[in-house]
Amino acid sequence: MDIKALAEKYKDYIIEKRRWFHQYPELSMQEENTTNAIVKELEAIGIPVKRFDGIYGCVGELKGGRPGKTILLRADIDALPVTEQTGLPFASKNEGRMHACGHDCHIAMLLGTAKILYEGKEELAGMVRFFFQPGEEIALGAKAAIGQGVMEHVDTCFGMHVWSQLRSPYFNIEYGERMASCDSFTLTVFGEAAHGASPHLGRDAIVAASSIIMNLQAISSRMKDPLGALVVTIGTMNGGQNYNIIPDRVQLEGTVRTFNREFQDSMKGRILEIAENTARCYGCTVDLQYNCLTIPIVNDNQELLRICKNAAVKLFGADTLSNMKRLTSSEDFSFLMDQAPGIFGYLGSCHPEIPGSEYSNHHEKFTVDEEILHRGSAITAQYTIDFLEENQTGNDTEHGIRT
Amino acid sequence: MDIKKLAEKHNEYIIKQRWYFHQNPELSFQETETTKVLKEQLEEMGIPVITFPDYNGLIGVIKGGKPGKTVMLRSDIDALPIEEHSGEEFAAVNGKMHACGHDCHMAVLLGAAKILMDVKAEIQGEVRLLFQAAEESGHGAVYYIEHGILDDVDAIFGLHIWGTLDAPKFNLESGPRMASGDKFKITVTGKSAHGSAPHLGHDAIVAAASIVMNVQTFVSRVSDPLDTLVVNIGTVKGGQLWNIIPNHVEFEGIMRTYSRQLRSSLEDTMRKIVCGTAEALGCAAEFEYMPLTAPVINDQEDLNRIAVNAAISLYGEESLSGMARLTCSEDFSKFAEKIPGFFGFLGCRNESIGAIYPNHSDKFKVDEEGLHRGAALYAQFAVDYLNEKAGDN
Repeated sequence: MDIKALAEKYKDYIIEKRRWFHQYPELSMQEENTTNAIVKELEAIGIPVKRFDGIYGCVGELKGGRPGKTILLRADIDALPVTEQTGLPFASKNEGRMHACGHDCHIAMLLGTAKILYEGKEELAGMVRFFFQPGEEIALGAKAAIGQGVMEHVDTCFGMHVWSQLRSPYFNIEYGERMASCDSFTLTVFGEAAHGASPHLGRDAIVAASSIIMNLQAISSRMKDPLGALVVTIGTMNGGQNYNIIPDRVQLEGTVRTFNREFQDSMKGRILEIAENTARCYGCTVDLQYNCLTIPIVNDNQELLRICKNAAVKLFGADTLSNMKRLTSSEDFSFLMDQAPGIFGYLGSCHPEIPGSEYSNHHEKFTVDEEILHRGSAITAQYTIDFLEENQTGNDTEHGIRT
Repeated sequence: MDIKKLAEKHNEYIIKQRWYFHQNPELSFQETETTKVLKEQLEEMGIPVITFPDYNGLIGVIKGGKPGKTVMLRSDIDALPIEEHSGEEFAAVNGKMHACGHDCHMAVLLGAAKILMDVKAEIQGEVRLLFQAAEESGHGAVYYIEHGILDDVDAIFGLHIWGTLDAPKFNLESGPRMASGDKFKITVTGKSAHGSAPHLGHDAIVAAASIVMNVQTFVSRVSDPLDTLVVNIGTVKGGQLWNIIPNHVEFEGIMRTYSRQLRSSLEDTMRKIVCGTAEALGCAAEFEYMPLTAPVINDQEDLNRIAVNAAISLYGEESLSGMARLTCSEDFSKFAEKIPGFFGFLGCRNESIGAIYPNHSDKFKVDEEGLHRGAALYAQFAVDYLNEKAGDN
């Protein structure tokens, strides 16, 4: 099966779909029309589709002609609350919403992959699950879909992101830590109010909160392995009533990012310990609300990386692979990788001849070099075929999504 | 000259005036009717007045029969935006209240004016009666000083009615009596960045927290441990979103002390700590200092002595009572920064009549037994001061 040729054949289709989805962006967990359009496309290809209960997004399932493992391919489908300023003829028609993170491309590429794989389905040694995921930007979609069994019977998962800091048409699929975890927290410090002239009669929540902020710095500087990365950011600080009153309440909101899962798990306890004990020094108390939004993405499966790299090289030559520094931003694909071995790659979208492609993901002028899209579809299809081929089981394990 | 007797003679007048002012409170900078009535009262006594074309309050001028120095007696005249719940039959019903006793101050000083007019021929010099507007604002005194009313005045005396001091005791202690109060605002400016990329920004919240902590050393390490200093950061507001490196934090606060010397160093020391800390963390800070009131310090030995002796000569040693210095403020201090001054307190607390609430309470109530004594003290102080200083020059 000549995947490269098939990808060329569907290139126009992929670009056309990307432009359509780009015009009709929908926010996280509100992807109703997007889902309907995807379902229509998959069914038109001949792939049966299942929807979820209470959330948007869908799963297409393609059963190969031969028995084998199950691979899940994931595209996220939600857009951002950004007012588009690209000036493109196919710019967003939904005011205040924009596919500024390239999820329009992800949808189109995965539909392209579906077309390619459908043509060669008799040769496929296993099952392909096309997962169109809602709510990635707010890190709710992956968790919700897992709750509805999207990862059941899945042997491996694969995801790819178009990335503006990577030159088109390079592909990055690299070993190790790739994206950081993301936790959010709200820390409230409670003191006791008093007249501003009588500090001894109150308990100053601003001094306690400030001391907590300073002591939290020691997590990065003294408690973390210096070779690992950690970010603790207090993004907002609000408190007090009046200049002349001892402040009795301060609220801090912040985020924690790291690439180490164990360290991430320890952070709630560390923050609480420092906050509680520091507050106690000033006679204050604290309340900590801590949420894990995403876990880190770590490409630690050498076997999957080898298959994927070979697939890309087979299609586009050795120089199609490029290195890229790990990112401190986050992806909820990590929750899928927590359920089954998986890898996550990046497709460079920035090209000097494409005006606007230099803007970073999430920017109101973000756009991509569309020449990469069919290549993304091809790499995904080739990797799928090669993975299933290399991991033949000989017998058809019962698989299929519950929903 | 029996000032004690004269004060008793005018007792009824004093209480009547107090009731009138209590029923007709006016807020700071709005004391137009109050000023008008005060003018009428003084002119009725035959006292010429100095008024101000664009400002409330006034000065009555009593020229004694003999030459000498000039002493100023001061009363404030403004009320507070408090709904009165004192239960008095003459309570105000306009949502404003003389909850700090300035109604008493006016009545007492009018009483003193009557006494002084009775003994005018014997006075060795000049007495000026200042009825000051907008004390509660913290800067009501500035206008008068800028208009030169202290230029030919040798000393100033003020008396405050006080809710935690038993009536009709005087408190006439030397030393620091009321704290200074100076507002400040700190603005910390950093550089924002994505919350996951602190190295690309300058975190204004960490800088601000560091400033708060470092400011604590002003009290603990920089100022004299014998001096009282309170630095209160009362509000903090900063950042945009949990996930963005914050680029802006604002604080508001107030500093209080009893030391003039320490007060004069507040702005410099704070600015050094604030701006230095911010700079160390890659941010910039602005320290805005808004001086409001100086401390009230009775540091003129002669005035302290004259005040205490005046009270003793009128009502004996037992009329005096001790009282801890107060952490609140008075803009009388602005006058006392320019010329020698003395500031005392007159007790109005009396449990048996329910006068147990502090000044500024909506239930603030006054034992009026002390009011004529206050008038007597004003008059006696003026007479004794002018007598003692008559030979100088």
